[in-house]
Amino acid sequence: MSTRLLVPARPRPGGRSALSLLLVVAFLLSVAAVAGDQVVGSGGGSAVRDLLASLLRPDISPDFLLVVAEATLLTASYAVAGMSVALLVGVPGALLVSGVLIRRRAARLVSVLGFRGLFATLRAVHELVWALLLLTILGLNPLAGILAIGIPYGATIARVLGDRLLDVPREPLDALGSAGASPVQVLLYGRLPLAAGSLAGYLFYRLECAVRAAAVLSFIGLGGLGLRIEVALADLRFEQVWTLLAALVLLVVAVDRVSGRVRARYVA
Amino acid sequence: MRSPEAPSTEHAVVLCAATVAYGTRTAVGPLTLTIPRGQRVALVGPSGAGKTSLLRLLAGQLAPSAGQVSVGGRDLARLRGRRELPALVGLLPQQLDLVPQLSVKHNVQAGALGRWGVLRSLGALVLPVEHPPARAAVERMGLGDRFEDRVADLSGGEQQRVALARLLVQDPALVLADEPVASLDPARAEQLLDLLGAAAREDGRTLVTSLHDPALALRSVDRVVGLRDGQVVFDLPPHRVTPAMLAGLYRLSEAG
Repeated sequence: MSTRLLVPARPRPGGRSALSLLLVVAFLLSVAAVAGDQVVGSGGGSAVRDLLASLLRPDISPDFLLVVAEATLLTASYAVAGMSVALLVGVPGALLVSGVLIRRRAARLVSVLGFRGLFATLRAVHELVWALLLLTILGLNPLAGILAIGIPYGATIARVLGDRLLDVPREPLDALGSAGASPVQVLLYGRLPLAAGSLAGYLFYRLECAVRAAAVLSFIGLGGLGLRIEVALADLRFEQVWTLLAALVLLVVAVDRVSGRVRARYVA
Repeated sequence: MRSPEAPSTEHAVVLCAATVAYGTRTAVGPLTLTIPRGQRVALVGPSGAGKTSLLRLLAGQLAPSAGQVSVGGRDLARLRGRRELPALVGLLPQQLDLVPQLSVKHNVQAGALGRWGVLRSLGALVLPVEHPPARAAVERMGLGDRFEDRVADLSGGEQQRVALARLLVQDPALVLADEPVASLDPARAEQLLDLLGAAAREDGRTLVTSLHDPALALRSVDRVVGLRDGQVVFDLPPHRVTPAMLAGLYRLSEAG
């Protein structure tokens, strides 16, 4: 009887298409609500034409490419520095929030619940809000940008890494335990290698997110690709916008490539 | 000094009216059995006879609901969770118990973790150092040329030998194996049982293994214990086990 409860009721095909229709209607209504003809701003039509036309002739003058390279490097540096802080928070955090090193049940429960709450609070605040808060406290300081990525990302990494350390096959861990391994040794010889591929993949995904976040954070005055895009858009230099966007895409693709290579090494 | 009345260390395993019960159902016992040091014992019997429960009892993974189990003259109940237990009793890992992402070397070295501190364990994992007993055990299993390969890249039979190499590095006085050849073809099953038997005989270890195939049991052990419904049906050297006894052991019960 109890296993029946675990089997989800099969959705009726008619019910599903009715739901789809409802969602489409809701979406169209919400677009209309945002304000019919104001979706494209006044003069937007010609801006769209200019934007598309300039796609064919992005600015690749040596002077500007130097500016792009510098901005790309700055954004990548913010992303890497932010991820470093996130790892400093997230890796010890993952051990605390998963409780894998704590032998005693009661202590483990306290650690899991306490740190789960702490990290949930830290990551509930978006990195952009963290940036505004930290700018108020630290002034226009690169550290504000690094911490704005590092704190919420560290909290997210702690939770996800912690879950992945727990979500590994039971048998190898039990076998290590019966050979006399302590929780730290089970972590080193069991949980970490068993989860390595999934951990590495997730961390590279977060690095990719950090690149995008660093580009956005640069709007608020920290420099980098986002700031350059904002300036170019304000000056209607669309040919520069395209070059800058291409640099951002290349940066994300580069991270993705490295990620694929690293992950391939750990897949069992 | 040990008093003459102390449990004899000549007996590696002593079970005294030991019972394993799950709720109201008795899986094993009450069972009284002694196994001398160095003896190789096969447990045979139909599914549900209590072979796995008995092995888990000897491994210290289950506490007896009644009675007493001692290994090497020491009460297992007092050794549960203690760090000296792995030196007394070792359960042969199965294929699934290995870490496929790690090399043969690291999987086999894991057998020594009970004797190593955290720093040594970490060093053995990340530094290009070799633990000589691990190398020796892998050579003995005929896998010397696969020492640095990932376990995931080995065949099922090779993985089972890696598991045995890990157990040799753990170096327990009593070796327990639960259906060690269940997933192997006949030729590889015989090879593994020969290696297991040799590891017991040459190093003076006591061996208790469950085997679903009585023919394999008869050719590789000193003593065969037939179990049915948690009770000993026969307990004989292999040459005295008759086909009729085995047929009786495995017959389907009249009731169902």
